[in-house]
Formats: sequence, C-alpha cells, structure tokens
Amino acid sequence: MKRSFGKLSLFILAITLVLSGCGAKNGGSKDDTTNNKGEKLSIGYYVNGNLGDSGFFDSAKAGLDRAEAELGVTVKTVQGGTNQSDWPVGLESMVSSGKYDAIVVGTSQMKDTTIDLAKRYPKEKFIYFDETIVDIPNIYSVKYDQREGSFLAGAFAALVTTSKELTGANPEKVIGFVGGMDIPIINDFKAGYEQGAAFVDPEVKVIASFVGDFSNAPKGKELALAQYNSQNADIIFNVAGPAGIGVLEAGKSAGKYSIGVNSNQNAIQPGSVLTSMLKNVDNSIFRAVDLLSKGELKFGSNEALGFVEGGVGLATDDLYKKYVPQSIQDKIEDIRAKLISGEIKVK
Amino acid sequence: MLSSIWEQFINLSLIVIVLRMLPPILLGALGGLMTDRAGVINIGIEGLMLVSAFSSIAIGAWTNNWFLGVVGGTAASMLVSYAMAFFNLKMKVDIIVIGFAVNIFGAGITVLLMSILFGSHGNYIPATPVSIPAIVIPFIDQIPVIGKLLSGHNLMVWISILAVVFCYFIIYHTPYGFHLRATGEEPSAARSLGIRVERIQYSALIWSGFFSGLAGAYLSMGMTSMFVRDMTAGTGFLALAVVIFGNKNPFGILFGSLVFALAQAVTLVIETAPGNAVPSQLIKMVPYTVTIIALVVYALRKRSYKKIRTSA
Repeated sequence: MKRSFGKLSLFILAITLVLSGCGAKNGGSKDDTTNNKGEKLSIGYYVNGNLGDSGFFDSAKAGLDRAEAELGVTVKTVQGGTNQSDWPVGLESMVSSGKYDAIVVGTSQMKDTTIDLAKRYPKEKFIYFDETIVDIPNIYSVKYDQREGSFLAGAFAALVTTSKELTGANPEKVIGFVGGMDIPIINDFKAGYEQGAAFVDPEVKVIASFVGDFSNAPKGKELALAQYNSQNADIIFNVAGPAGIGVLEAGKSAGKYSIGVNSNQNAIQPGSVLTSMLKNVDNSIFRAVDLLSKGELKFGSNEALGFVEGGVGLATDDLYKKYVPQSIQDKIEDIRAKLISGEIKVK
Repeated sequence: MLSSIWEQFINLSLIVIVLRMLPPILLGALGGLMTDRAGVINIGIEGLMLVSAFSSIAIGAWTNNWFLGVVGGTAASMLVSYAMAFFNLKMKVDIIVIGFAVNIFGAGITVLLMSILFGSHGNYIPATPVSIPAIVIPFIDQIPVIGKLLSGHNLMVWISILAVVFCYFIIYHTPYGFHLRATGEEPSAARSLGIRVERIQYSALIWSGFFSGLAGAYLSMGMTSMFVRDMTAGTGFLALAVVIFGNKNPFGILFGSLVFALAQAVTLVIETAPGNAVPSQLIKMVPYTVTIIALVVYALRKRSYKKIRTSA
C-alpha cells in the first residue's frame, strides 16, 4: 500500500513536470505566432459555469458568435461546469496552451484567478467582463453599471405597484426581489433596485429573498409565490439566472408581474414579464474583439458601461409597448433621461 | 417575522406550501426505501429524478398530454434503474459506484438531449404548458378550513400519500415484501431458503426508478412547467436522509418528509417576510440544521432503546 502510494506520487510528479514543461514551451512559441502575420485571430472563451443561463454567459457567447460571423475570428468556447474548484485549472490550461490571441472570461468569481494567471503568463491577453481590474498590463476589463440599470428597474416596479391602470397591481405598495445568492454582485442589483423604488415613492417596501443557487427553479417559483400571495407583492425583479425562470412562471400563474434580467426575457411569459433589465454583454464583447483585431484595445484599463454607453438598459420591445401603460412608459423615459444627464446619481 | 409565520399558519397557506413541497422528497425517499430494504441502496435517486423530469416534460409537451408525460418520464427512469440493476447484479459493479455514475449521467444526458432537441443548454419551457392537474373536490372546496386543507392540491400530492400506504402494504403484508426484507437483512440466508435474491434486488431497483420517476415528473410538470438543468438541486440526496430518518418504515418516511417539507416551507416564509433581519445564509441553514437535530434525536432514541433492552 505504502509503496504503491510512493509510486503513484512519483507518477503524478512526473506528469506534472512534463505538463509544466509543455506549458513553458508553448508559452515561448507564442512569440512567433503573432496575429500581424495576417492569420485569423483566435479567441478563447472560458465559461465558469454552463451556457444556457439565458443571461450573462449566453449573452457573451452571442457577442462572440457575432464576432465570428462578422470579423472572421475563430472562437473556442470551453464550459467549466458548476464545480468551482475546476475553474482555475480549466482556465490555466486554456491560457498555457498559448493557442489564443485573447481569452474572454468574466464574473466576479474569476477575478483573483485571472489576475494570478495574467501575472504568471504575461504574454497572454485577457478580455474580462463584469468586473473592474486595473493596472494589469495584459487585462482589458469591462464592467456594467448594474446599479444604474437596476435603479430604473426599481423605479419601474414602484410605478407598477402604485399604478391603477394595471389590473394585476394591488393597492399595497410592496415590490419583490428574488436573487440567486446573497453575494456582492447580486446585492449590487438589489441596492440599485431599492434606490429606484424609493426615488419614485419612498413608501414602497422591497421584499428581498435569495434562492441559494442559480438552478433551483422550483424554489425560485415557491419564493416568488410566497411573495405574491402572502406579502401582496405585485411585481418581482428576478436576478437568479435559470432559477429566475421559476420566478417568471410564478408571476404568470399568480396573475402578477415580473421583471427579467440580463437579456430580454419579456417573451418568456408575455404580458406578465413587463420588461427586462438588460446587460448588454454581447455588444461590449463584440466591440472589444473588434478593437483587438484593429490593435486598438487598451489592455491594462477598465471601462464602465452605464446608460450613456449602452451597457445597461430596460428592454423596451413591442411586448413592453403593448402591455405597459403609456403613463409608465413616459415616466420611465423621463427618469432615464435624468440618469443620462447625471441629474440623478445612483449611489 | 414570527407573527408573519403565525399568520400564515393560521390561514393555512403554510400547510398548502408544505403539501406542495412534499411529493418530491416523499416519493424519492420511498424509492430509496425499497432498495434499502433489499440491501442494494440506490444513491442515484437524484439522477433518476432528473432523467424523469426531463423526459416527462419533453414527452408531455410533444404529445400535449400530461399523463403520457408522466408515463414516459417514469418509464425512462425505470429503464435507467434497470440498467443499474444489470450492472450491479450481472456485471458485479459496486452499487454505490453505479449510483454516483447515474447522478452524473442524469445531469449530463438531460442537458445533452435538451441541446440536441430544443437547442438550449439551460432550460426548456414548452410553448403550451402541460401540467399535472390539481384536484378540486366539489362541495368540499366550499367549506372554509377543510376546503383549503383537502381541495386544490396537485394530483401527485395524493399519489405520493397513497404510495406510502402502498409501500407499507407491499413490504409488510405480502410474501414479496417478506422476501424483500429477508434479502436486505441477510442475502445468503435468504438464498439458502430458496428466495431468488437477485430477482428481488432487480425488482427493488426498478421500484426505486418508478418512484423517482414520479417525483421527477412532479418537479417539471407539477411544481413548475419547465425543465431547468440540475433542477432537482439535491432533493434526491435529501430523500436518502429521509429514509434513514424515517427508520426505513413507510410511515416514518412520511413523517420525515413532512418535517423536511415544513423546514423548507418555514425557510420560504422567513425569507419573504417583510423587514426580515436574519441574514439569508443563516436561513439557508435551516433544512440542514433540522437534518442534524433529527439525526441526533434518532441516535438518542436508539441508544435509550438499547439501554432498555440490555437492562431487561
């Protein structure tokens, strides 16, 4: 037993040495394959989770797909799965392969890993979304001002709950929020949402609940039903990824309203999902790849995209125009203009 | 906050929530029970539930018939459990390893099929929703308290409670149940008495596929009308804890499931209470704390029982 353990560890050591050797070698050869040669630009996208969240990761993928079609770059997507301990290894194996001109990665959970890898592989380039990273010369980062977007969502919800035109709105001034997990980025949404609601009517109460993960749709639905039926909330803002789809369904079955998140979710339950807070990850990623191909992307810097830059916004499609009363639409337009002009400051 | 819980208890909405949370845990646990009693403990309940949750809604939406959906989902789950039995009993693979494999398989195959059939990696919502109907009992639903207690529940709530009685009857009042228990206690002794141990174990695993299948169908067509990847979110494992907690007895399991469903319902109520000051992480602990307390109580009871026996 002991001897076999010794052998095993020797074997692992040997493999590690060989692999790390490969990494170093590939890293070295990276110098020759510059993209000035006119070769196709090669982008790697590491998803720390899975595609199919109908939000965030899918949106970044959409931007990359567009880049693939319009700019002629090649994109390789790797899905890391839900096991967090796999992510650093997965990303590093992409980075150390040296096959990519830039690696797209995002979310607050990958920040430390990426900074660490960027320092260890200074020749690799990173495009990082949804977090601020500055002063690392090979990372370009872009952040979306979800607080600003959620402010508008909060204002919208407060207008709905005080509305007399919408049949599903009750007299109680209560609005709901269902988040995925109680983590800083979700609380950022919540903070903006609360401020927006208070801006319209300080008496509006916000009930906030968290699912605990981003996949338990039945629980998302139950939480939302409890908010609608027991606490008289008439509109809920879901920030819970796939689990949030359960929230939207609860809205439909209770005859109340909800707000989608990240991408346009209005069509999931038409008439019940009145609007969605958009995070235009796709546009920003496309833009970054475009700039990269022209050699104009500023690595080492961060860009924060709010209303002005079109990084966030509310989904005002045909369904929105059909189901949302004109008076609310006008007020939202008004608040949006004030946010853009800087008259309203989101804390 | 406490007043909010009390209020919801009084107006019975807490009980309605408990009954809505009950079937997946209860049915999953009954599936676990059958295998446990036969000595081939199936830890793959979670995977079986996922397989059924996906296939039931896919078939249900395709045929536009919830009943065919339930049948299809349950059949898919039974098929997988049959494969489990084949690998365990014929190929002699360890049942725990197979259970793990099924859990991983369930998470993988559902997403794979979803991306092939519906072009989505994350969730599938049928265009016209299909769902297992709720049972509204005429006349009784007009009576104030009893109406809310008895009427308007999903069909699967009643099926799951009937399943408890069914399992009790099968295990304790049929020759088959006797053989099942004998097999679980001591397979070699059972074999020496001419019981066909392997056939019993085959059937036990297929039973677990059947019950997990019903549980999965309820998740995607009863509680919600959609499939979301990994939507079981640990219910299958909770069910296994309930098997132990319920002392491997169908009625014990019913009680255990009620305790867990209540814990989850209370969590929901606390979290959605206005002005709730309790951090959400702490509330999330409630079901797990209940598990630990339940197991401690169980252990203490067992020890005092032993003491009585040894002193007598």
